[in-house]
Amino acid sequence: MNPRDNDREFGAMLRRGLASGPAAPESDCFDASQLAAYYERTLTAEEIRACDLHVSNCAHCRSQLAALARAEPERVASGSRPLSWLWDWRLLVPVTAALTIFIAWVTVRKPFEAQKTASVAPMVAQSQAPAAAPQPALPPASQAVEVQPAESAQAKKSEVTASPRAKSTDSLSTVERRSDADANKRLADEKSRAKPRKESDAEAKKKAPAAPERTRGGSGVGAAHGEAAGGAYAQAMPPASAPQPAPPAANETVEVQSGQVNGSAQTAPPAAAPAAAAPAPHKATTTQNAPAARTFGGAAGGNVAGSGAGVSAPKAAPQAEAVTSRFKQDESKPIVIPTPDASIFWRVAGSDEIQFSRDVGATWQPQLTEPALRLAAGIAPTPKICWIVGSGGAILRTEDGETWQRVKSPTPKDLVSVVAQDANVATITASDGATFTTKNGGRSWKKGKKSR
Amino acid sequence: MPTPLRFAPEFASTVQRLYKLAAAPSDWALSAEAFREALERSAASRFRGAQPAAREINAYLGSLNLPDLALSCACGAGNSRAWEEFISRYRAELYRAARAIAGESAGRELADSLYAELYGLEAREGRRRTLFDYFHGRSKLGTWLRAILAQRYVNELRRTRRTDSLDAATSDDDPRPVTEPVAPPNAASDPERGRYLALLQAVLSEALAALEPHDRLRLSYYYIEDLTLAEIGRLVGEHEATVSRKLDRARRDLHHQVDAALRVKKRLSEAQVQLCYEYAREEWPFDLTRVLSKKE
Repeated sequence: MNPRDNDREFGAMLRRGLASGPAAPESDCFDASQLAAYYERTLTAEEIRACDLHVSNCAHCRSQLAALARAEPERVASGSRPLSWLWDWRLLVPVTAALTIFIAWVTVRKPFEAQKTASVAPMVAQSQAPAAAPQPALPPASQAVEVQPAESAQAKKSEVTASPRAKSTDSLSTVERRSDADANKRLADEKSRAKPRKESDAEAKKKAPAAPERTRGGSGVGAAHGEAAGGAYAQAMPPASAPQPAPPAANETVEVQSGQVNGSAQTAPPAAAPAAAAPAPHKATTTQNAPAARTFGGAAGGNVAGSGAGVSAPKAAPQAEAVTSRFKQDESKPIVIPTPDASIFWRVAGSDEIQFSRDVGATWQPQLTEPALRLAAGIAPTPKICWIVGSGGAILRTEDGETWQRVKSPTPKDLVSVVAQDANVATITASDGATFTTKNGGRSWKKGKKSR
Repeated sequence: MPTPLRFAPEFASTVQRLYKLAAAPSDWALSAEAFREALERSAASRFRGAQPAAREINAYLGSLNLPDLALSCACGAGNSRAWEEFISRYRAELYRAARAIAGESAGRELADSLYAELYGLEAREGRRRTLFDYFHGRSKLGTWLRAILAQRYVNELRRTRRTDSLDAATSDDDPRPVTEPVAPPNAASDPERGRYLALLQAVLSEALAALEPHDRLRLSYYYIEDLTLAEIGRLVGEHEATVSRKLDRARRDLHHQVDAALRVKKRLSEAQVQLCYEYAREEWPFDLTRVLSKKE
């Protein structure tokens, strides 16, 4: 016999059995006031127990209560018997599991997307910095990371800032791989270029045999930043030729970054611009470079990794030396400095000219030329505030987005990176690894420990 | 109507406080004295001649729905303003509930008759008798009105069924009583059939009698009253998911108990147990108890 039939007939038997059950004395039956109070459960607990007992044996009162329940105003909206299967745990368990997975996916995805835009500025500032300078995790406007000069603190900060970034980058690669319609095509293109890149990697390793770890990681502070910043754009990093010092600070951190980022880079579609292939003009006046996306790709193609800030770029140019040579500064490549505003960028063209773009890099306006300087890194904590450092301890800063000022430098040595929270708080790193922090816009600097 | 319980003078302040809390509009002309009498009636109904402690009375009075009690008092006294208020608040709801309980036409009739009794045309000892005297503020006035409708409908239904049954039994149209079972085609094929059915009936009755009151209540609402899970949930104070789960568990337990009792106590084989269910199914939809009593 079908078990379901068995249940059904058992239900029918129950119906008959219950109807012919014992009867409660009618003298205990409810009056209307009791009936209503019992229905509203406003009786005392003791009364409710007594009433339950009576009703369970009194068909008369039970019928009255049933009629009362049917007269309830919300009856139409309430659940009906055919839908009772919805409460079956065998259905609820998988539905709940699916919902949980979905919520988890959404939860993971949202913060990443917010970070996608936000993580651009600090990344760029350090893209050229070979030293293990502390890095902000988020755009300075919202960042909570305070620069600390101490070596261990630097390492910790780097770890703190890098890890989530790399993690989210990895997430991005996954998400984008799913959402980008051109991903497979670009991936195929990328594969065709994989061989020269591997060769280039090998060559780079030969050049730095003493620090293989760093080749992937430490020398790759830039690499790590570039890749971490760009994530899926990492492969779009341009070849860079100018050698740069590569202090081994924060090796472990960099290892993590590099490992995680490499993982994402392998799977993510290349989304960089061909600007990497062609040297940017050294001294453009007003450069009508390329479409916006391309210009941004140019950022990646310069000394800066792509930001991943939702900017789509044309297909990547050959990236033979992308990974291994990006630590070396190539002055022919502009340093692009993103801001929290996705349409506003600064860049250093030809190492001595600061240019400004309000249209995602479609056009660039020169703001300052310092022929005596070799500008190396910059950061824009807001769309109007930008710090740029360079050779001979040069520190430039604008607070209005237009006027540049020289800031008193605490060191005559070349500066290789800068991290800033606003117009007052900034930390610079010299080529010898020394760090200096100001909290008053450069009027005074506090020296931190050297990074090595 | 229960004999009013006279509050001791120590309750005067409590009554006064409750009267203020009831916040009856002045145009209802509800006096504090009339409100106190209503409270005394309510307490008498709750404690039914017992001698409650002052603390119990206070707790009880504090739990009452005072604004609705005030409205019912004023309506019972025949105040036209209060009646206007009552009609504007409850008329539509009363008719809707009556239709939901008794159907479209019978529902209207039910609601009309209730209106008449609420207004209280009949007078005794110089005081108008009205149904409002029986509202004690233990629930909302709307729920109490629906409860009266439900009681009247069920009472009328029972009275009508009894009459109909007698009429049907004496009718010439169908000489067969409605409770007469139609024997299934193969009823006579198994001489053990009657015994199996009797065993099943006995075991089932025993299991049902041992049910915990709440389980019995849920099963009764579900199988006899045909209520939805949501309606049962409202009646037993549980969420419908809980009702569903507990109903399922109770039915499963009963089924196992009946199976076990047939096998262990009645020493039936698996095949015989299946025969019990099969015969019971063939008797459907007629009352098994009547079939058994006739056969035995």
